Amino acid sequence: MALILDLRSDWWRAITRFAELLYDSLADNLVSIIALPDDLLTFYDSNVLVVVDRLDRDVSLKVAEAALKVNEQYKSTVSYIVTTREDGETIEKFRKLAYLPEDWSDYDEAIGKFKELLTDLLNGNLVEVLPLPRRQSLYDSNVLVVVDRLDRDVSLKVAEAALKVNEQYKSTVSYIVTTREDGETIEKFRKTGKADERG
Amino acid sequence: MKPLRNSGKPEKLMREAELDFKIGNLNKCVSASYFTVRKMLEHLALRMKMMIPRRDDKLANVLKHIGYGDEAKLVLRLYELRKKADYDDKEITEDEAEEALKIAENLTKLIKSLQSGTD
Repeated sequence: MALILDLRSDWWRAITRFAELLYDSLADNLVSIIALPDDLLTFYDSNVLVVVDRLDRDVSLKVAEAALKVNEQYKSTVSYIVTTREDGETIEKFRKLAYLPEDWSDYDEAIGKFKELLTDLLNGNLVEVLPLPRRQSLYDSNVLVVVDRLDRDVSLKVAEAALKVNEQYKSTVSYIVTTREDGETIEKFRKTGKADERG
Repeated sequence: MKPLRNSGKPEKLMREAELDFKIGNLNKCVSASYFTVRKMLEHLALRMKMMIPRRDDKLANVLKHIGYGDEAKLVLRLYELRKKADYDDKEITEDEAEEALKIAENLTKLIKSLQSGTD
């Protein structure tokens, strides 16, 4: 298998720098670094797995120091988990995910379908649906559903719509439901939707 | 089928959720309830030789795919409560925490029975 270093990618330059810093501080204790294809992809809230021989507080702080430096220097964000080589299960999961790029090409269609289903299921209770731009998220979510009245039944109807969409499309709808009184969350979604995080 | 390492983590999280409920740590109770189910679902997907979805929302679809659509909805209901517990300024209510616990207990029982069926 060919190893392709994409030197124009901010993410790969960040990872290369992260690796250099880790090797400098951990030396032979560093076993491997498994990075997901880009920083917006995450698993367990992380995009990099650092594998070491011995893991203790000192090692953990050295990895933190390297991440802080990289995250200051690059637009991409290194979000890591540290583990030991004995943790075969986590290593295997990361390895598999590294070869499985996410496909968000049908995001707009997925959001459109979600809106359509919500309009049907919630009738006049639906106020608006505020999706974030493709691949962005806020509070682990990419869509805010605003309703007039929110109770358990409404919540389960939104869940039903999301399950259908997530089954049908490659993109993932991940939602929060709130009421129109929750101006703060609505405003945050509107702002996140407008601002380019990397701009 | 190759046995999975039984870490006992979901059971421990469930006990923590119950304890948190008893002492009034309602946000923590909901969070631990959710992660109990998340961990169990991940184990189930692995046993069934399914790829673990990167997104939690699609993990709920694992149950839908095998005919448990109502239970899949409860996974998303629990996920929604967990987001409220962890990110929202509003507090989790006692009713919501109790609901989260019940969902986690019921889903744990279901997933365990499904897992034993894959042995």
